[in-house]
Amino acid sequence: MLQSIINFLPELALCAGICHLLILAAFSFDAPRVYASGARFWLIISLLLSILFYDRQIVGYLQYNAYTLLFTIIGDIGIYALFFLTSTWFTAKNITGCAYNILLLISIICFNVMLASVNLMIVFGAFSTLFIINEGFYYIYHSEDETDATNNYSTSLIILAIFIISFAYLWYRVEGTLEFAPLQEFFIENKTSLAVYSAMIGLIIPFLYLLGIAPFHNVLETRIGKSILPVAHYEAVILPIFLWGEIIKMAHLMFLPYAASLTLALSTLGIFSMIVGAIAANTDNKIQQLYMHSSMYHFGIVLILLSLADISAEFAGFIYLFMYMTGLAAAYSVGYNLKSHGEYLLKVSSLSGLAQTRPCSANILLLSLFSIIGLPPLAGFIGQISLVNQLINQGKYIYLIVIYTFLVWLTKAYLQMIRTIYFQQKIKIFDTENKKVLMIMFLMTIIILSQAFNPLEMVEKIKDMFYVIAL
Amino acid sequence: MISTNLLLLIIIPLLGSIFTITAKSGYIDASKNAYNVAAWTLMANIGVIFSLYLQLDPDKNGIQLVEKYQWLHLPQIDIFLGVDMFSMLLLTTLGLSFLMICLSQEEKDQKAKAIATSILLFVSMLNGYILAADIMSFYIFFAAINIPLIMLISFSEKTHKKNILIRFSLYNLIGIMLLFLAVMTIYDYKGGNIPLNTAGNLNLSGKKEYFVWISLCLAFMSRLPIWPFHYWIASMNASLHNAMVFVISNLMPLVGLYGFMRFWPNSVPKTIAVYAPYFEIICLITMLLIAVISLSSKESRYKLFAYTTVYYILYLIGVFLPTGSLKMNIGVSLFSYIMIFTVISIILGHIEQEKKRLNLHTLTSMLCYMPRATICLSLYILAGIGLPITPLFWNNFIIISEIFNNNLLLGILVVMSVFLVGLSLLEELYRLKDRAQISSELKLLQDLSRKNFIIYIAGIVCLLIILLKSLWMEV
Repeated sequence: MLQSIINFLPELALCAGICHLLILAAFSFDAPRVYASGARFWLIISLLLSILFYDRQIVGYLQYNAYTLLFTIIGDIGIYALFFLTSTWFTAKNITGCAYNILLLISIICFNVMLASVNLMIVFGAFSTLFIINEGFYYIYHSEDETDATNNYSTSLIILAIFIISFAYLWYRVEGTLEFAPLQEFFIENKTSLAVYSAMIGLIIPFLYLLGIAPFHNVLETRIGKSILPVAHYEAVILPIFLWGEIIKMAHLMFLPYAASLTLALSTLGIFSMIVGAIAANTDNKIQQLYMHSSMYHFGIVLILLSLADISAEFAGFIYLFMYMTGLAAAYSVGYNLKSHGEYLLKVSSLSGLAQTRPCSANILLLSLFSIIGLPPLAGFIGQISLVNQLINQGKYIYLIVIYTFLVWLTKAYLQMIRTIYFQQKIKIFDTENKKVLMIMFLMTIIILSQAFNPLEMVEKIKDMFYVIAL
Repeated sequence: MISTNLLLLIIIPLLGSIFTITAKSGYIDASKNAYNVAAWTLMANIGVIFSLYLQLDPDKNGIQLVEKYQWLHLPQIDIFLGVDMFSMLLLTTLGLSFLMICLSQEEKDQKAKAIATSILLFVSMLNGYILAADIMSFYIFFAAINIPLIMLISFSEKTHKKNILIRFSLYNLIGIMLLFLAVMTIYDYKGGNIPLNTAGNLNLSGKKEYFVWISLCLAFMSRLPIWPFHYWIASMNASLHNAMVFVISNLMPLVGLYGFMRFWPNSVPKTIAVYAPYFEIICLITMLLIAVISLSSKESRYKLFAYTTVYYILYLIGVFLPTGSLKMNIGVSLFSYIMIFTVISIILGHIEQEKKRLNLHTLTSMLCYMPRATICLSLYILAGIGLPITPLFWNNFIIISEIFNNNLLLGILVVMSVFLVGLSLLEELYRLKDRAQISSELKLLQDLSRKNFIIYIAGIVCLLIILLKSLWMEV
């Protein structure tokens, strides 16, 4: 009994956090800071417990290890900053943000469970819940008109249906347990079966849908443009970290028999996503959509590296993703300081002349964009080294040419933004910068600047944790 | 004890920039303080440079005082820093030039803090680039220089020609990517980071060899205003109004030139070296074109840009010559050249500022009431075009002689270009001193301050001493 409790202590801490927030809501606390502080407190407890009991397991269902811990630490730190930043947003909007914080805590439980699962049944449950929470976020906190909402929900329903059907088919076909190891054997036995192959693809598509990989990007593209900043931040920065963690894990533990055929599919999708992302970014006027298209491009690269079906390429993909996410998180954190008359600025054009009155925000945004491009000596450069080193090692020069051609294209979009910030005349009066947000922004800048110097041999430590997946 | 003097040359300006950016702003002397911090930082930097001269063996060829720093394990990358006499000369002249820039700032500028920070960052990155002794750190600093430059242009320039910044940045980015791909290909081929001076012993073959060398050439060319890449750099430089930014922007070709200097002499394989004449032809066309345009241009900035470009290309042609003996001549000539164009740019900046202050329509006759500026500008322009009072004259003479020795036609065309830009600068000096449009409001013009006047004269004396010293050494 004690062992079972210990096994779930981090998740129980998060459950306690949810109860705490519900009690606060029941007593009608209306200060967003109270909710955010409560959520942060329980998140830290959960993270500490995750570190303390990092190798707990429930045979056949959950297997926590250094790999899961790696994603938990990165994700939880991101979520901690998110709680911190979103409380300022909710305060400015005079909303408690209780539902947001609770949904986020539930998401973390799902992330933890999904990453640790070694059973398709658990993955199915956790992912479906995440999928629904994602819809919940959009349903509760969308900012603009709802004309497209029905269309979006129906697409999401179709994707969820594909996921359920694929899972149900595999459950029907596989006799016995849905653990990853027997499932892999089942895939080897049925390698030529089109139905099984389709079911496997059906399991991957919803992940790509939530990540916004082309051609499954339309809904996310619309949503992120219309979502409020905290939701867009969650969908763009937090969610992808865990989803990629799960994709890498599934590719290793379950889909290995299909590696050869998946290579072509994933690399094609990756290239397509890169091209669409880079081109679309140049047509955007909304900041969040620009970031989303930028993510499409960078996720395309990660997908290409995953398609190489090699642990070193996967690790390169992870490092690339991690460094990109750091830059993107910094760029998003600046968004919380971009206000005019209490309204958060959503359009690129509204940033005109930002550098004149808010040089600090402008410069941090500039640095984060440079980091995303991969300029040394910023964090993104480490990602670029991993990427190029890997592709040259494997002789994939064509990929390199495509990647860099479209990086130039994408950079054009960033430079348009920089031009607006630094060269356009000021058209809005920007509100005073929030000191809390400034603090997070500075912290992010320090991370961006220091990561390239590999402090405490961070990359090597991350590698040790990551490679556990291959053991 | 492990020496870290070279690392200090990167770290001191970096710390200075952090100190400047965190300094309090909004009070009366804030801008003065920002430039003072920058000036003290640069003085400390120059102090370290002079201490390095004591440790350096001038008779020894190649990189000396090498420092090694561990960086990444995955992939395994160690950073090497090192210097030779050529890089020491560059470090010294850059340090002195930037010091002159900071000391000559007198007016109160709201953006002083940002500009001083960017300048120090730029110096840090440029020092790193010159000190880099391995291909990876060479690339890192090559790319990193762009960040402070773009920040500097963004801060100090107004809405004029905004699209040029985008093109300029994209264009530089392509250069960065090409160098990165070339460096990573070499890294992969050799199984690790290699010293810069061994880049010629790669023994690459076939497509890989062409890929690496073409990428390297294009990457360095992207920083030089050579056809077909000249337009954006020319537009960018001609549109800059701030004298400091103009100087810094005009140092970007030095980055490309230095890249060629490090990779080309004795490094480039014969299969690639056969293409050098074609490259020389392109350089020559650009040189002549820019020189002719400068003669017809009415903008003093463009004339100065044309002057710097023609001289950079002259040095580049010197690098391509199949003789390895010109390196030090180019180094000493660059030493004077950078100081000369820095001072000319600052004085022209001062004159333009006065024109703006008094709302004048033309620069003509402006020097008539600025005796100190007249002396300085005349001396520096005359030194710049070949008055034998600086090492520029003596070393350029040797470089041009070698070009003549190698190819008579090439030599004639190079001399013609140099002559045309010299004429163009003289024409500008004449226009500034011409009394045709003299008016009473010109009496309100403010001349250079005594402090600045002394600094500039000290600069020319310094150049004269170096000329005499190098002549004695030749004897």
